[in-house]
Amino acid sequence: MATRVSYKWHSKLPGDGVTRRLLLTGAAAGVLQAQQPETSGFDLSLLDDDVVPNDLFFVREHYPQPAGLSSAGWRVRIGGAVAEPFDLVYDELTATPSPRRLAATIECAENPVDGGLVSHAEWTGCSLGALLEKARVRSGAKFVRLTGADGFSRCLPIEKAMHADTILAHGMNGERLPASHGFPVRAIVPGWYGMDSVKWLKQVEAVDGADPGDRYLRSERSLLTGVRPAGPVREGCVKSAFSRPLDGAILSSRRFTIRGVAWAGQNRVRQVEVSVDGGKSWRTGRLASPPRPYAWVQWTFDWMIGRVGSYELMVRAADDAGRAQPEARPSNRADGFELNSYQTVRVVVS
Amino acid sequence: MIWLAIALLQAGSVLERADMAFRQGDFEAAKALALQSVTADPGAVHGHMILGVIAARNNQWDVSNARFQTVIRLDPSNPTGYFYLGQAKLYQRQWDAAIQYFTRAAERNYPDRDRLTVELAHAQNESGRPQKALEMLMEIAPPADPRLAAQYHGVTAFALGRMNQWTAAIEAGRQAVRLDASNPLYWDFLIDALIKTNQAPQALAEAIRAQRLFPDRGDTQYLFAVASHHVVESPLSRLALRNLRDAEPQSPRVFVAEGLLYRKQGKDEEAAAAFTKAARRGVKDAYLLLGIVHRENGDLAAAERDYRDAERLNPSSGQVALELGKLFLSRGELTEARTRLEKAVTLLPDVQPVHYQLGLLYQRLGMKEEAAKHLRWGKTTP
Repeated sequence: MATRVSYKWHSKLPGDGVTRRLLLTGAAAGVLQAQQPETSGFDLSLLDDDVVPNDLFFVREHYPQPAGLSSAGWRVRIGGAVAEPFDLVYDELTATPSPRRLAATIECAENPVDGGLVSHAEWTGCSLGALLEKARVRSGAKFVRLTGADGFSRCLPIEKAMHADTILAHGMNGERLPASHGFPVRAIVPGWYGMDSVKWLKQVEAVDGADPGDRYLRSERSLLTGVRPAGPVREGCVKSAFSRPLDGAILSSRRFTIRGVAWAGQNRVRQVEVSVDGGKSWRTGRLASPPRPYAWVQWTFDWMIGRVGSYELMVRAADDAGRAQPEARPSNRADGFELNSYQTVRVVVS
Repeated sequence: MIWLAIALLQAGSVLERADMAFRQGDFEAAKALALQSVTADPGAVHGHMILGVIAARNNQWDVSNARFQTVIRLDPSNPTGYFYLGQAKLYQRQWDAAIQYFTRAAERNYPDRDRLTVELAHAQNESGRPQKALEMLMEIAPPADPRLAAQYHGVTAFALGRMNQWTAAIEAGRQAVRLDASNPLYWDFLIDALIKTNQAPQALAEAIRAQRLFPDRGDTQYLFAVASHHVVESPLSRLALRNLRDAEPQSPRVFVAEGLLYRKQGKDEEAAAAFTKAARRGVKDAYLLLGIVHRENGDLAAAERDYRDAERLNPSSGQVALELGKLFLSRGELTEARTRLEKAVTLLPDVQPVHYQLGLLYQRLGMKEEAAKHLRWGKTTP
């Protein structure tokens, strides 16, 4: 999937027109309306801190961003198969005395091997489980449907919805959620693919069964049975990526610090390995910080470059639950999700 | 005689093998065979040519010059020897010598006219004759070969830049980058020109692309840092500093990038200290930046001192002329202001703030028509 990488920059000199901040303010006042769903990736070469600045965080929309977004009067209906439905008002959410803070990496389920549809942020909100407990979910409810103002909805198994780390967020990296990232309220379902972290949240419903039209399904092909579904796409896979160098880079030094990130859904990254000879040999990269669940971890590798020429660099990761990236996409996969085989970048040393 | 004939035949076949090895990129083998060939036959022009080109690839200029001189001595009518000598002189930045040899190659009808024209135009521009360079380039169409076409547009850009025709220079620079993204010099020019002409967001967008392509190149990462600084909301200054430290850890330009980051963080004292370190270690840009910090903090005497240092080190900088002009204008020193601002507008004719300041100056001098013209220019979006 080709995505564009967008930078919305403005000069410090006056007279340059509408600034990004004005755009965001306009969004809060409910005037911003996209004409079609936006998809733009994070340029991993711009990775610095663990958190990705809001302006650079990847954007993936299933439907156009809704018009009329405003925190004034915004309510999230907690209802469905519950004994005591109620409306969560935006001001109540933001006034919670002990907000939940969660560091979580979000990845689009269709993110390619070398793609930028992945980013990390620190989210602020409140526990979804606490809200569901307040509403007293009935015993027959097996799922929770989250619905956004754009009409997009996802069903989570009740256990994941009730998990202590699943939150409704109103803040991102210390700021109010930007419109393109779900303002006023979105779900954050950490360790699962991004489609479950529904944006512009309007409704949380306890339901008996999952939605029949779920498009996020694994599918497998075989000679005997053809293509058949093989379960829902949910928990994030273990994956790793280069941030520098990237494919096509031209190097001139004889020593280079290779950098990147690795993540493992609900688990912790255990190890990252790098190859500078197209996979013939592997060496362990250094993790920049202790790995955490839900969060990517940066890694480095000091490459002593022997000679000029072309090189194929590869990276792979494994997590603490025994999962490892596959070298190549399993040939029986017939869907376009969970693309987590090894990344290869080709560089030239001159 | 028979033995001589055999030796010459053998030398010829060795030469053919040298030529084949050269064309296949096996320069070690080509060199060894070519040496054999010229030892057996000192008159083997092509052998000397191969050795000269291989030496030039390795920046062994004395050797390459000697080989090419041998070529033109042995075969004075051969344009290729002159062409290669011209190229060698170009790489050694001996522009006038390069022009001489390229001209002689042209007189001898060097077959690749497009390549010769582009190289000669490059030498003309670098020797301070940008108009001549442009005239030569206009005699040919952009070449079909993408790399050569990129060079054509690159030389066009550099020449237009020397003539302060920045809009056209930037367009030519974009063409060069589009045709040959692997040449960092085109990127450097484009980013620098966009910064100079107050197109900071575009400069940053190009710098982001360039830093991805050349992650260990100090010049690229430095321009990335400068471009990021000029865009208020860019959160990339710290990253650019890290990249620059990775690329050239001992470089004094690291202090400049540190200073730019401090500026973004509102830490002016720390920024001034960093710029001072950079200035003491010979970074010309540092004086201008130091002057800006002092001016913004109200220390106009220090600002003037720094700007004058910047002017002395970089007399053709339009940005320095602009800042010094603004300073004098703010102090009512209109004659000094006029000298600088009129200089700035010749160096940066497409830049709004320059026209705006010049308009203010002319207003103070009572030159109403001139003032109105430049203020209008200074307020309209290009």
